[in-house]
Amino acid sequence: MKFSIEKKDLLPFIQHLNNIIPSKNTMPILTNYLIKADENENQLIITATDLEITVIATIKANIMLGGKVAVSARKLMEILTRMPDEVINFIYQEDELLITSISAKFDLLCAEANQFPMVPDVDLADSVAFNAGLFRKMISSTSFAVSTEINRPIFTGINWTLDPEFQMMAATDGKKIAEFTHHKPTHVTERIDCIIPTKGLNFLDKVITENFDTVNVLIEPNRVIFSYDSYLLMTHVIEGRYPDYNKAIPKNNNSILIVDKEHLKQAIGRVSLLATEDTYKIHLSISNNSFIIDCVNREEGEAREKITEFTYDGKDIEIAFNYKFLLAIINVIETPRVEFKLGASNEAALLFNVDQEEDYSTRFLLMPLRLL
Amino acid sequence: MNLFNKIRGQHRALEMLHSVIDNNKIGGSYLFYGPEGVGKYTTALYFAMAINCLEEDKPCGTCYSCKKFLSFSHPDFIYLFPTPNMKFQLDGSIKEEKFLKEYESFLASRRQTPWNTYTFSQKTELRVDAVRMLIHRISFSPNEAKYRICLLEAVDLMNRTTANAFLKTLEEPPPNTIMLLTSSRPDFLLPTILSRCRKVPFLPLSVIDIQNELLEEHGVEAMQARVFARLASGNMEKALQLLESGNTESRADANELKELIVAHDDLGFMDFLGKLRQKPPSWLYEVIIHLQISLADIAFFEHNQEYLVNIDRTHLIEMMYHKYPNIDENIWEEIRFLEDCQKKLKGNVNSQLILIEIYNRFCELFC
Amino acid sequence: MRKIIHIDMDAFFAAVEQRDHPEYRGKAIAVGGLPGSRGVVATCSYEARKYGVHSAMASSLAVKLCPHLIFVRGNYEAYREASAIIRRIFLEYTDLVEPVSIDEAYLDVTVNKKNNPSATRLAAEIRQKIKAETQLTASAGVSYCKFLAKIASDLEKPDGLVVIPPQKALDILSKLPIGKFHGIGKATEEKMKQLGINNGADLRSWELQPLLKRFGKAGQYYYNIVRGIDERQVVTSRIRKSISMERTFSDDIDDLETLKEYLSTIAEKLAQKMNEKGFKALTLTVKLKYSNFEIVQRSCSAKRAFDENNIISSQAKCLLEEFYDRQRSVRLVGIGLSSLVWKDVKISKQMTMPFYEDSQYIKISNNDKIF
Repeated sequence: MKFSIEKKDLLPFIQHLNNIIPSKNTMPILTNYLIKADENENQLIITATDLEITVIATIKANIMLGGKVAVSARKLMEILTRMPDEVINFIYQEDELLITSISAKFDLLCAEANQFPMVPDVDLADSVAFNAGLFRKMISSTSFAVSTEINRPIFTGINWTLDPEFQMMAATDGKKIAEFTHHKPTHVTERIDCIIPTKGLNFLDKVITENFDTVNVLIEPNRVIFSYDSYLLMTHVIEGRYPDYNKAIPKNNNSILIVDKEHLKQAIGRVSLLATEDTYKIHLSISNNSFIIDCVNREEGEAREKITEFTYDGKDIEIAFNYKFLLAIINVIETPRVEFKLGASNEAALLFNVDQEEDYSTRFLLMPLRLL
Repeated sequence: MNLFNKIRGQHRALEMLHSVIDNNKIGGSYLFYGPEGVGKYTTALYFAMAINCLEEDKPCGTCYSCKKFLSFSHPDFIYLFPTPNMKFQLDGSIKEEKFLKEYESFLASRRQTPWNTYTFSQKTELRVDAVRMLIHRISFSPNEAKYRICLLEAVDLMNRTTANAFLKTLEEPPPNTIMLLTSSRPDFLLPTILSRCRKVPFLPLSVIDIQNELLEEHGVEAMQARVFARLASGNMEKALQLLESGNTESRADANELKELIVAHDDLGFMDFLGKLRQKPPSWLYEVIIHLQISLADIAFFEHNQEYLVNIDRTHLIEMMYHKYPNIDENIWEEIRFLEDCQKKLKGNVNSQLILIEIYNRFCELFC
Repeated sequence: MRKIIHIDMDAFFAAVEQRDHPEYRGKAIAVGGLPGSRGVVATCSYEARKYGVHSAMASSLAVKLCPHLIFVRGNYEAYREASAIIRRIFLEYTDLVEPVSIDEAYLDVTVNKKNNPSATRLAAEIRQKIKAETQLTASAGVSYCKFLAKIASDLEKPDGLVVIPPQKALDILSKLPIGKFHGIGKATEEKMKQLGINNGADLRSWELQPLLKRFGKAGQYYYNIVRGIDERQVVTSRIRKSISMERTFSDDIDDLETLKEYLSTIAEKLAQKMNEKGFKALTLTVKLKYSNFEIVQRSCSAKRAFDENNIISSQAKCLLEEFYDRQRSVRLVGIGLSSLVWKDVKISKQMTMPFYEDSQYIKISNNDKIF
């Protein structure tokens, strides 16, 4: 293998991939990049994986001789960073990767390329394009609600439904549900459901910036592949069927509370200072002419805040929530006001945006704290 | 070469596994059970390789799949073994440098030979963190293997919570995921775990099997191979341990002590006592083991010479036998006396006193 | 004579903001709702107070009083963190700490961990430590009762330390405007002023009976405090982690019914103990030691709290049945109650949707040491 490339053409890709490389892993091969030089296409294909997600960068370079090698990610990154801004030559021979520029020279011992986890060939011909901004919004509106209990792996991912007529992402940890629906026809011909681990999606959310308009997606039985810019991201899927959470969504929550979002957030922020760490409980008392949030903490005292600007139509209600969960939902509400649909004290509350005119919609459910 | 041929003395187990591979009826979970040091782990590893091997003669040990198994870098091979509490992360990382090093040294020693006993710095068991990592890993679709393999060594070293966490996975493993468990104490397993597995029985190795393994794989001299194969009582791991300690000072020192006893050389014994100060506490313990073996040798000397262990020291055995021909009748009393000494040692009784007690008693016996 | 310190952080939220954002230092800032949105001021810096801005004032009014007032959205994590540090400092001196809110607490240092008889010195030291570790200032008041300690901390705010010894107490109280008496709110203040009570001296001239007549039970309190009498204790609400009880048998037992009877007896004693202390528990653990000394235990969490004898006893028996290996004999049984809370504390539990799970029992981790 032999190729050359300008430092500035290579380094950004290496830095991007470095985010994937696991540190202190018990499987040392994962601390390597797989570098493949493709003579025919005159390009480099560099892969990093942590077994859960795999990211592949394709980079134009001057390839003199094809081949592949696994090389320490940390070392390569350190060397590249310190190299002067010049053309860098790479030659692989006898287990060593020779890295040279006009002024510097390194010999790097390498691992065998076929010890690296297999990277399947990807044909993106059948992939479907999505608006990148919308895609990010879908992820950030739902990923906070996934479960962290590994005993219930199905709930540790986001369920993504692609239907010819619409698409939807949903997540739940049994205490809350977040659901985002885009009411526009998609390019799929039949309905597909897959459960995607949050790690891959959160990574996408972070790296897809305003610079890209579209993300291409290819769904395979074992994995989902996203392509953006010069990168491919593959994530394994969580095997199994996502349970039907709709039966947990109340139909008769007729008490409607509408309140200014920022105002509410501030009030919760203050009252919650005295919430205890076992339940993070804050307590809401709502009637047609009064809305009070309070929190009594035997060890530290009490906090109480009266919300003046709100409308409420329904029975008087006392209800308690884990304020962290409540804030997590309010944080992804996009409109200036937030709507609560409430039932009884020990029943789920529903939260919505108010008067949002978009081609998508969201709904959130939050289970209260049962008052024993 | 088919790697299964390297396994010695486990015909029943191999027959079973061969038929599984040949008939391609692979699914489910397996428990490899039987005494320590007879090849359960190695067989399980080879079985895992055979299931995924790309060649005809499975497991070949040379295709890229087999190679990844042998180097523990296969992405669909999850290997759990008893460890100290290393705080395993879900993604398979270990944050504390010291533990990561130990983990890597363990694997390195495993790659060298499966019979090595690697000693961790702290008490080991199969930890709940490791099982959580396994559960997390297998919730994803496999990367490249036909069958994903989870190999759990010494599953009996799991506490109840961990066992319960694991049980659910064992009951409903994801598709194409094979669980291989090994245990030398199957009676300690939860009945629910036992009932979920196909059982693969392992037997103690014969003296000949161990002798041949020592000769052929470890380059041990013929005479020594014979000695340690006998001492090992069917446990290959122990044979190698004995080989290691047997070649070290403690065996030579035990022989020196025996000669002092036969000669009733009190002055020499005083010098010998002086040695004690520079030795680790385990030294006297090992010397006592060798004394026990020597007692057996003396008792066997007249009628069962083929059982002799210290064949390289027959002249000393003979000399001692002649000093105490009736040892046959009292041997268990003496063995028990030595066992008692070991117990005292562990109970931190002054080791000098113990050594003196042994010397005095044996001088009387062999005078 | 008791020695009480009252510590009150100076403009706490605003001070944290000024510490973390140098550009706010020396400026009038307010933490709380923005003026456009009918919000209120949660705290404001001393620079803002000069203009008459105070906490709980409507933001729109505050901005009229002080047009250059900077509104800051609170960083509540930072406040929480600072508060935790301060609390830790208090506990270095005494366990008798009664927090009033996130930035205020009473300490009883009559007996203290430093064996220092001077409460004044201790207060100075605490203030110094707070300053060193959080870069925030606190005002302290030292006296022989909570009421006077609180008055004292307010006298030279900010960054002040005031001691009110018993001989000066009446003097200070006499001159104190009636609105400054802690426990006398706006409404009461108005009422007192109408009665001609403008300061402590005025209040002291009233007999007990007329005060009771005008102000009900609170009258007794007013009557006492103005005479420097305040017997309220500094109450900590720190609670122990668990209570357990076990029984070792002289002869091993292998009969389930007999074991259950022992559990009943233990449960009864435990319930009594819990009652005396005023606790209830959220977690119950049953422990067994088999004849080979192997110890096994199993825990469950409550749908409602464990407080009554019959609940403890029936849940314990239920657990025992679940995990006792009937083939084996037992040397010891025990019950442990943990996650204790005060009886009158309303407990709440996060609800979970039924499709997710509906299991009542939790598994115990190895690290939980209840016995």
